[in-house]
Amino acid sequence: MSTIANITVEPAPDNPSVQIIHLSGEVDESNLPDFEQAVKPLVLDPSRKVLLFDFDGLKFISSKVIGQFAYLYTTLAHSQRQLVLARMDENIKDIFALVGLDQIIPTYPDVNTALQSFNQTPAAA
Amino acid sequence: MKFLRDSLTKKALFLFTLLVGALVGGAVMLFREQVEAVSVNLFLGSFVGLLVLLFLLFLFDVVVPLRRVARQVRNLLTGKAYHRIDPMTIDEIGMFTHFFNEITKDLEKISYDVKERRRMSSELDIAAQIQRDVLPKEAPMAPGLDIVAKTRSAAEVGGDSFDFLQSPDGNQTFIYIGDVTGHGVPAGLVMVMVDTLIHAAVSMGLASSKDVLVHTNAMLTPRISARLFMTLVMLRWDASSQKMYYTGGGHEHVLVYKSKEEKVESIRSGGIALGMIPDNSKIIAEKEIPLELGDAIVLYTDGLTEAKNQSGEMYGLERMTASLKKYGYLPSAESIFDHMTQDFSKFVGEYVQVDDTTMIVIKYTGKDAGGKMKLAIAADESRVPNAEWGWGS
Repeated sequence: MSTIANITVEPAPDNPSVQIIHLSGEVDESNLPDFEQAVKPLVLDPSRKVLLFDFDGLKFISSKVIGQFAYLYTTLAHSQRQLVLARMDENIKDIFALVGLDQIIPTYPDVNTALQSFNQTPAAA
Repeated sequence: MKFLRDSLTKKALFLFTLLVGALVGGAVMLFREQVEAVSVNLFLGSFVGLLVLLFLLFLFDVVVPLRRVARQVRNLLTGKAYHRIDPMTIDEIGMFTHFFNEITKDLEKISYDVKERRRMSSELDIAAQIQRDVLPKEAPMAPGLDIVAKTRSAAEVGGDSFDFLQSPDGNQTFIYIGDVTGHGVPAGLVMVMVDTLIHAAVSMGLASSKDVLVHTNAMLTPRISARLFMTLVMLRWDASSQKMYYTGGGHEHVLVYKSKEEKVESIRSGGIALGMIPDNSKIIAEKEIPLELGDAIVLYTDGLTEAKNQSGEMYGLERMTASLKKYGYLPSAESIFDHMTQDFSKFVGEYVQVDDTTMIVIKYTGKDAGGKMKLAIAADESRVPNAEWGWGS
């Protein structure tokens, strides 16, 4: 049975170059293609300077999905764009911290704080 | 006419009706002509003529189409060449002809799939053997250390790996355990690449585990998909000073059993996984693990801590830590390993393994105790229920 995730995208209220991607449910190999499809147009559009993932409601991600975030970070960084994460629960935070992604991808406790950060240039990889 | 042609029964009924009609019609005609007697010749001739007509109809409408199908079915069953048949009728025999054509089309596809699967399975066996050949069979002596290591793949080709390497001057022993995202052939390929790069880095004489991982990561990252990565933790044993160091690459915890306090320290390996960013030098660091005689270190992959039992419960870090605390006092790495894996096997029961599992146990026996290393790779034991694992036996 396929895992269910809810993915919705909206521009930030006062800045269309910032896209907020709300992710909830669970994301693993079974629905990773849906996740990739939802995010792909944003990655390909150079006018989207910041992709801000709101993890409120996300309960689980698998290691393959972690790899996807590493890919997103690297791809965006190559074109001077940013990946930012917000509202991760302890389990998700732990998974990112274990593999060390929290060392390169900025994470914030809430969306508003995250929105204020995107003016900084991404750390060189 | 299609109404009649699509069924043998209808055809038979039609012919019967025709026959009866012909007989009745003939009788009526004779009656009208007031013929009281019919010559034998006329009667026989009419009868035989009718029979011949019926025979010819039966021959071309039933026997010939049926024989055509039967011949090809016989060829199929006896392994001879067969071919598609063009249906002559649209009745039941025509339906069987279509059925034969469809079945043989599917059989050809299935046969191709089976051959293709056999070929792929054979190539997977070769890939699995290549991977097993990469894993260490014997290891250099590490005076003071007693080591046991075992790995088990969930698929023919796994993503877990470990290795033991000695520096060119013989004084440093590097021990690492790693886990590539996912499993199967892509993970296996990355695992082989990493092992090769680590060997190259150590043979260059790089002094610390951090330097080895920085070099390995720099060579690896541009060569693999950005979605793939390998978590890893590397130990470095300095034989002359009898000190142990570690560098983390986003891997699981390092468990250290402290024999004096009889407790377990769970150290986050830290760092960042290999393959995520080209330059990890500012994120990873080599640190010392203070060791005293009788202490033990356990390295493992998440296939162990994330293994589930029938109730869906995960084994977890807490259970692993508790198990090491219970058995860490045992005098040999092998005895610690066997008891810990017995605990693990009891917990997971017969739940089928879905991830690769690897564990290394290192017991600090002291400088004068000599070193021995025992290694085992669970070759081609994929899909074996956990209860049958020989880890503890």
